[in-house]
Amino acid sequence: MTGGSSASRDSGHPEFELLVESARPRFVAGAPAPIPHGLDWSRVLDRALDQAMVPLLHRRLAEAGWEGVPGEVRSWLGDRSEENRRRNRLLTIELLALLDRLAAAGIDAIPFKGPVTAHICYGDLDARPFGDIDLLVAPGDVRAAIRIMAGAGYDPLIPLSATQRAAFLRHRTEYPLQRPARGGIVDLHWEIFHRQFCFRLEPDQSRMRDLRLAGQPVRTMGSEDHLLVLCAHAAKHLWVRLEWVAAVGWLVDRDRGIDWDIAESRATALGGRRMLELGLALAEILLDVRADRPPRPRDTEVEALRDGVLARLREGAAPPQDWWRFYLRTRERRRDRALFLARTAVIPTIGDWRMVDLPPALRGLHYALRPFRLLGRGIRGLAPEAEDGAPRS
Amino acid sequence: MPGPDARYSVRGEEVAAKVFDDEVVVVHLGTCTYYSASGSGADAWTWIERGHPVGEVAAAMAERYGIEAARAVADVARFVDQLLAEGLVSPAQGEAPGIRPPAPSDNGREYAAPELHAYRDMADLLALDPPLPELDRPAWRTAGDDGRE
Repeated sequence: MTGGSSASRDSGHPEFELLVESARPRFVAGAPAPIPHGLDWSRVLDRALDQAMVPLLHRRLAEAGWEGVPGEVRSWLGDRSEENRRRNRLLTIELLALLDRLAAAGIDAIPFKGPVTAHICYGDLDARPFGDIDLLVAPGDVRAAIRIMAGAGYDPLIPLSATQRAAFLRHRTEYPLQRPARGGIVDLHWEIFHRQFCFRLEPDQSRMRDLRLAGQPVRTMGSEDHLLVLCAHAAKHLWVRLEWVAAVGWLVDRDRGIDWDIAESRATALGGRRMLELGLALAEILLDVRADRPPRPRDTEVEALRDGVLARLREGAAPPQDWWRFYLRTRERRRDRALFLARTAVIPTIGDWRMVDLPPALRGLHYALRPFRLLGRGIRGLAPEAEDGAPRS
Repeated sequence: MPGPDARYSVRGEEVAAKVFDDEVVVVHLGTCTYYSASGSGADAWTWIERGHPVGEVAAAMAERYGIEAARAVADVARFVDQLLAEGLVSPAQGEAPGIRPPAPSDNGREYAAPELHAYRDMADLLALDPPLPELDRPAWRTAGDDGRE
């Protein structure tokens, strides 16, 4: 599933090329290529941080024997990788402890992203940075799960009054919690993803898979759903991180058991086919990873999106302010595009609730106030706030 | 110093531990402190966690690493003191497990006294981004933007 030429090579951005090389699941020539001379190492590290590539870069340079790498770069990468290792292990332990607590209360929680992505995609908990824990529970279990987590010392990350919290739980799809000691943030989801994004993935129970994290059995969604989550999450955030492409590439390369008929049909049913194809196209052009499936017809819209992402990744450009245009283009169904715009315009955010804490009887007014608040913020107001996921993923 | 019959249990409500490869990672969830022990420390933790008395743990260490019994007793006692001081274990109630801790054949590892490494900066690690090293321009990164998800 690998081989051939990559459109990312000889791009005139050797620092980016090194990161791309680090992201590949296989060496193009079967062995690590020598590290190029004359790199701007500040730029390499800067990009590696921005694109969540520090662990993979560290691994790549170690494989190449650190030849030509300045001592301070090696030392810095070593320190950051060690910190990443500790952080990931701490969060994994926290996740496993939480799963035990929830299971003891009869709540079936499905972990995804974070350590699960690291394990499923790379087979290595330390290969990617993550800073929070994502758990999916059934909507009917949300309040009980929050109670159990409160008993374990977790408080809401965003203080809300009782009224605001009730409205939040009714209208949103995730609730962030954290320990006062500032352990890992836990995003408790009852839907994937936020309604605003019109992409509601319910794990295919027939494709669930078991894995072991630190020796403990954990049940999570199957590779097909995992791939859709990776692609939809990255689309929501404009594919600003090379590591997201790497995760897709590694999953496609390593997991020969992916049922492409299932992956495609589920993506199509959710209106997420273009998001899936964009992820696969990026993995192919950057990492030389091809899905093990018959060739698909050309999709010029996917190619245009892919090229835009590629250019931004190469240049290290900041994501555009009108991110919502990108997201709209990743959706193939008109009804999803229309719903996305309509929901963005009317679904109140935490900011809206915080601005005015309305009593229960007047909660509906938040919907009426939302468009005015957006207008007050201008077109940038379409940008999701923190709880919507785009800035803090 | 704990006696040979003393047994301890992990403070389960506040402390969680897992084995990653050959490293035992213990997290005090209440303080977000991260502890790590490898080699003989990982062995000692595992046996103590299973409820074996200190004397049995020391005997197993002596057997596994081929060290003098007195040295193993002193090292394990010091390790247990460390665990107690950090609030990770408390005296255990009830019966001891009926089996001796395993002492597999030569593992090829050199003996070093069991030691618990504490990292108290985890809250910072979860929240902050370290500055880049000084290369040809000064560090310019600000906190909280390291591409973590």
